[in-house]
Amino acid sequence: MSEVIVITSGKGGVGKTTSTANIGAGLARLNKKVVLVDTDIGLRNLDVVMGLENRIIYNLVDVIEGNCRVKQALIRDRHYSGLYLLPSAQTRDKSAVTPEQMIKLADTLRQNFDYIIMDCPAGIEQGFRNAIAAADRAIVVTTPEVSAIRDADRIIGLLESAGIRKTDLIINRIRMDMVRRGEMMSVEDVLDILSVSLIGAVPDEESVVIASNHGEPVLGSSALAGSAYMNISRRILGETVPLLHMTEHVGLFHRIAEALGRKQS
Amino acid sequence: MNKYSKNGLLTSGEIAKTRARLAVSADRLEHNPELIAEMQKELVDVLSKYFHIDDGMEVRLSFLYKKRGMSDVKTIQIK
Repeated sequence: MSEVIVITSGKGGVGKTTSTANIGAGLARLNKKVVLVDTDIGLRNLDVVMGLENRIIYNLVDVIEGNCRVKQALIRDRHYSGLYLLPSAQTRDKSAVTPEQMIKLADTLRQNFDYIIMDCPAGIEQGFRNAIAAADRAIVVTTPEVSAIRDADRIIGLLESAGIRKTDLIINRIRMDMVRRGEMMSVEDVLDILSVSLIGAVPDEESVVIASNHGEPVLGSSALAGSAYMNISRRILGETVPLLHMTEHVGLFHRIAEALGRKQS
Repeated sequence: MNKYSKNGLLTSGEIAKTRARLAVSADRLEHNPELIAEMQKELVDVLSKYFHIDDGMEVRLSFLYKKRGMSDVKTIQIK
């Protein structure tokens, strides 16, 4: 049975698209057939994060308007043979698609894929309505910032009232050094405020930016963020995976440097 | 995690937590954050007259909307 998952956040810039790309790669690595749908019509960027921007011929709106078959619009990932992208249209806007059409599209995709992942645009308007229309479950991405948490809470409420039966949370861009100093909310602090289950926490690392610069997933590298996304993918499949110990990765040298810095200040 | 920094002030993480909690509570109740903060203070003052409320204690207020089913509960933290 295939599953439609929407990845959303309310606030922009918290890492929805990066999370979508890496979860897609993670599920494909676990031998699932996955299609990532960029539902941000007018502002497409999942193609760029995946490094597939030069291969687009047809897009989501073409499929919905019947200008092409679904198969013609799907782009195969460069690294994982089971991973596909359905890119968004750049020259149209959100009103080009309706929630009913998204449900119909998802039903078509269900025939060929195990996981259909919708990368949702920021905001709570029509783009959001379209992205969640066909979803069986949702993953809300937030960062440990007041603004992102507030928006996440709004989104969780909206998903609930839209009848989405399962919503999980990703807390992105955690900086353990700052959490230790008390200058950033911890995973526990965020969970305490948002009444929703955690599916993973991702550390803020340079590797995420570097991977995205190359148009590649951070997953598969030695980076801690890559392991975090792999764990999230396993949890989506229903496996029980313990939470990553982000502190373990901090080397001795780093700790000494930090301790020295603390004395000086 | 340190609640206070070396100069005795609350850490920014602690301030963020309070602000996030207040913003979320205000949104859930569709009310203004300042009024919610004021209400929280008053409620704690009133409760303190009858109970011993120490630092390690949390006080939460839940609104149950019975008509809309049990799942519709809005909980805000008072202390």
